[in-house]
Amino acid sequence: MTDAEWNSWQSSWRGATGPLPDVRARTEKEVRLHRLANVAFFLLVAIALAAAISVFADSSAAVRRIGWIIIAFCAAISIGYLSIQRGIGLSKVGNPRDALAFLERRLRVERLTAHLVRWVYAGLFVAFVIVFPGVVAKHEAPQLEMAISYSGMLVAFAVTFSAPWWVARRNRRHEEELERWRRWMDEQRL
Amino acid sequence: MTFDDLLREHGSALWRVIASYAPPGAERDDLAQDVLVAVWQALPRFRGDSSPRSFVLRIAHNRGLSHAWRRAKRAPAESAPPDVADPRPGADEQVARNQRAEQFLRHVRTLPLGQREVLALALEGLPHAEIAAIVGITPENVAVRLGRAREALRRSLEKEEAA
Repeated sequence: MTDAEWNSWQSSWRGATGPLPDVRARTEKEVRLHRLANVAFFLLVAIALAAAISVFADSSAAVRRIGWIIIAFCAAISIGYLSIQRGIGLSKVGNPRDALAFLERRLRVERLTAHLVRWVYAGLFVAFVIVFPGVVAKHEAPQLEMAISYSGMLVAFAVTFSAPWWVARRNRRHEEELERWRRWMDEQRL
Repeated sequence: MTFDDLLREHGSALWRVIASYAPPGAERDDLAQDVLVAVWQALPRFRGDSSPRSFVLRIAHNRGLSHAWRRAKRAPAESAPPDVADPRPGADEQVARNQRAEQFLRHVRTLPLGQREVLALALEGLPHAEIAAIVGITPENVAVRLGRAREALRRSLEKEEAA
């Protein structure tokens, strides 16, 4: 290739100019949504902890035990989640292979989180089943309260215990897409 | 360095790299918006490990590839650039220059992605080492891809001239 040819191409290339959109509004919206998601997460944890702490004012030991169970649940979920999340982040603006690896790590995190939720909630459920009869023993209709509480807890238990299964089912499509993406990058020699 | 400074200094280069991945129209506007949002979000993490030009072009390149991936899934044929007449007096020369540039970009967009990404950055005047850092390959590989890209581009341009 001659220099003249290359210079001519560069001239054509640099002759191309166009307007770039103003993206501030969209970016600020995304930043707001991100902050909102973080605030929502911490708010939920704070509400759960506040609810747990408030029951310590109760004179009943059984009720206080419920508070400890909720605190243990929040602690186990938070510690497990944070340890699963460690090292997952995409620290820099990586190339597409980095992005692909990041997406694979995200799927792994979802899988592990599903297992975490399954077992931590199972622990909460068992502890609740053991402690709750003592909480309602002196109420007017303990059987009714237990029936309502246990049925709600049982539904949540069914959902959380089956989480690894339905998360895997939901992620199968993403995994196939990632595989197609990997093949496409190989074909494009990227 | 602020977002405005980056756009002022490298906005044209950004736009051209974006144009090498997307045809004119809404698709290019969307990609441009996507790239600029990514630059905006990544800017606080920019610590000066590379030049600002490399920084913004790397983002444009990565977003361009993601765009090409989504486009490949939809598999549309590239449509011809629309003829947009500029009604302003004295704008004919500018329109002709834009059309020539857009025609050239259309040829660039026909290249395989692996070659296109290297060629677009080389046309911006980046050295091989900088292109290698952006694309994530070795400088030797850059030289090989660039050679193939030039050859393919020359063939494409000659083919059109012959037609």
